[in-house]
Formats: sequence, structure tokens, C-alpha cells
Amino acid sequence: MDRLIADDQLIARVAAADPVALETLYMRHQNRVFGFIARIVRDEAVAEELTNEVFVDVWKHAGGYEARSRATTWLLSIAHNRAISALRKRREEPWDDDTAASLPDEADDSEVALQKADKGRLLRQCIDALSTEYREIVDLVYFHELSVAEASTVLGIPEGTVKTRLFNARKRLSVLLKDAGVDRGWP
Amino acid sequence: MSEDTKTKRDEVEMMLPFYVTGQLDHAEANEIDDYLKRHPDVARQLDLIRAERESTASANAIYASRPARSFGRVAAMIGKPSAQPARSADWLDWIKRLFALPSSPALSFVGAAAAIVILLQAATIGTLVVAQYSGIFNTAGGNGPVDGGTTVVVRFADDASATAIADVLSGLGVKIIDGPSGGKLFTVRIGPKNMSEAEREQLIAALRARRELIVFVTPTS
Repeated sequence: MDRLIADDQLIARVAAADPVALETLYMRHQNRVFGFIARIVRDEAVAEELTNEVFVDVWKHAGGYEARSRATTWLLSIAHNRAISALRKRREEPWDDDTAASLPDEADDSEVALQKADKGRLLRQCIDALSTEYREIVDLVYFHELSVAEASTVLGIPEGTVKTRLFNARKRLSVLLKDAGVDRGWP
Repeated sequence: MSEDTKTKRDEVEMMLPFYVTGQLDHAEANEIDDYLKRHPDVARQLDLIRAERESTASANAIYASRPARSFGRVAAMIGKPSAQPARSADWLDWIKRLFALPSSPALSFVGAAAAIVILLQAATIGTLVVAQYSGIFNTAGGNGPVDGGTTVVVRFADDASATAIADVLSGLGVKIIDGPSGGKLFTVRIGPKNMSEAEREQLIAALRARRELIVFVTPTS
């Protein structure tokens, strides 16, 4: 009947060194964690390894989980830290908000191709072309459906910064779309 | 526009994505409702945000159709053997996850019913559920979700009932083979690997035409 146990209870069992509970959590959440990380690091092999490390972290630190947030939020928080740490190592440079904000968007030379795509696909390509920090907040809010407080927990930033970061990401989307020939009339 | 008004507008605009995804509390949502009624120009942004949300889900959908990874590597990293749960248990979990959509009252009801049956008759649940929903599941004899063929990733409307979904999917001859994954996405097999492009497009168009039940459909390749 393990399959009917809530995530919080499973984490409590993981804290008591129950590997079956960890495996159940893994089967339940591996796709979400893998997808979230893969969107940040853009390398599926690396994402695969980092996903495993996230669940090793869960094994080690389950005792510190306080259930003040949803288990999903906790897992994504660990995943965020793992992914950003991997990016840091890859870039071999310090990572902070200023650094993140100064990173160029990843649109490269695809604008001509973008113009040929239909509107939905174009919007998707522009989302993919956002900088890492903008893409991450967009994914967290639109795909993982986190609240302001949950996104704040995952990213380790104030709630006000969550709102402004998403707002700026959306404005940046408008710029990318405009560059590709689509004026959506906002902002 | 006064500075105060502009500030209020900025505040509302920043909250609109959370309004669309249903992540505001009742009071906050009511406040946004009132503002949008008085400012139709801001209300027009809702369509932009819904399109952003759909495209974001589509961009993430590629990962929803990935086959499940083995726990073996994690087990080795923590120095514990994998428990290797029985395949029937995997399948039960999958069925349970399928109906574990908190924002879908109709599906949650079915989920509760299925859970009760699981508790009472775990040994025969496979037969019972497959018998009830055989038209939409590809269960390969009850041994778990099967991938392969030509697939799409879909998201059902939050208020879609299991019966309505089953009717549409069985009517089109397509089957759910996995899900839900992050973002409440399901992988649906629409035909064999070598199906024609025209047939594939036709089925995708037919799924997209049922917008009241299926919020979006995106090919997996």
C-alpha cells in the first residue's frame, strides 16, 4: 500500500532510512525533476545525473524537511540548486543575480527561422530563447504552477523579486517576438 | 495616469500569470477580478498569458514522454539495493497518478473510487480498472504503461470528466500510455510508428478540435 502514501509521509520514511520510500518518491517525481533540470542545463545526460543526485540529496537531508512547503517545492528547490551549481562549474565563473541578469539571451541566429514558424511555435521558440533565469521562472510559474511563495522558496529569492523577474521575462518575450516580426501590443 | 494608478496597474500585471494559473488566494483573485472589470485593456493581457502558458507547457512536453528511468543508479549511490517493486504495483501507481488531478473534481472522484477498490481488492484492480476504461488505456495485459508508436502529449481541461475523455479518446482509437507528469501532461499513442503524416495531422487536429476537454496537444517529435 506504499503507493497510497502522501509525499510528506514518504519523506518521513526516507528520513528513517527506508530505501523503498525513496524509490517510490523517485518513481513519482523523476520526470518532473528531470525535465526541470534539463530545461536549465540543456544537456540531457547531465540532467540525468543531476536528477539522481537530487534524490541522493533527498536521502541525505530528508530529516531536515519540515513540510512547511509542498514536497514538490522542496524537490524543485534541490533541483534548482543542483542545476545552477552545474552551470557555475560549466561556466567557471561566480553565479549571482547580477551575473545571471547580464547573461545574453540564447536566441543566437534563429530569428530568420522564427519568422517562418507559426505563432504558437514562434512563442515557444522565444521562450526557449530566454536567458536561463527568465526561462526558469516562466517554467516554474506556467508549467509547474507554483505560487509566488513557492517560486520564492525554490529560487531562494524574495517574493517581490519573483514577481518582477517574471514580469521582466514576459517583457523580454515581447521584445523577442517583435524582433521576429510579431507585435503583440504589450507592454 | 497618476503615479498611484500606474503602480496599481503594474502590481496587477505582475499578478496576472498567477491569476491565470489559479495560484492566488480568494481575496487576491477577487481583487484582480474587480480590477479587470474596470480595465478591459489590462484584461486583454489574459489571452497573451494563456498563450504563454500553453507554449511553455509545449516546450516542456518533450520530457513528459520520456520512459521512466531506473532507480538502480540512485540505489547504488546511496549504497542500498533497489526494492524492485512488482510490475503490478507500478501499474497501480500509474492508474492512481492518472486520476490524481487535484484541480479536477470529476477525475478526483474517480481517483477516490479507484483507491477504495485498490484497498479492498488489490489483486484484481488491474482487471477491474482495465475493464472499465479499456478504451483509453494501453496496458499491455496489465503490466504497466507501454510506449512506442506515434505519440502526442496532451493536457486535459481541469473540469473534464473521465467519461468524456474516455469517449473522445476511444472514439478516435487512441490510448493514454503514460502520465500524468509535471504540469499534468499525458502521453497519448495515436497510431503506429510508421503512420502517414496526413493521418497523424488529422488525428492531432481532431484532438485539438475538442478544446473543451483537451487544453492542448503537442507532438512528441
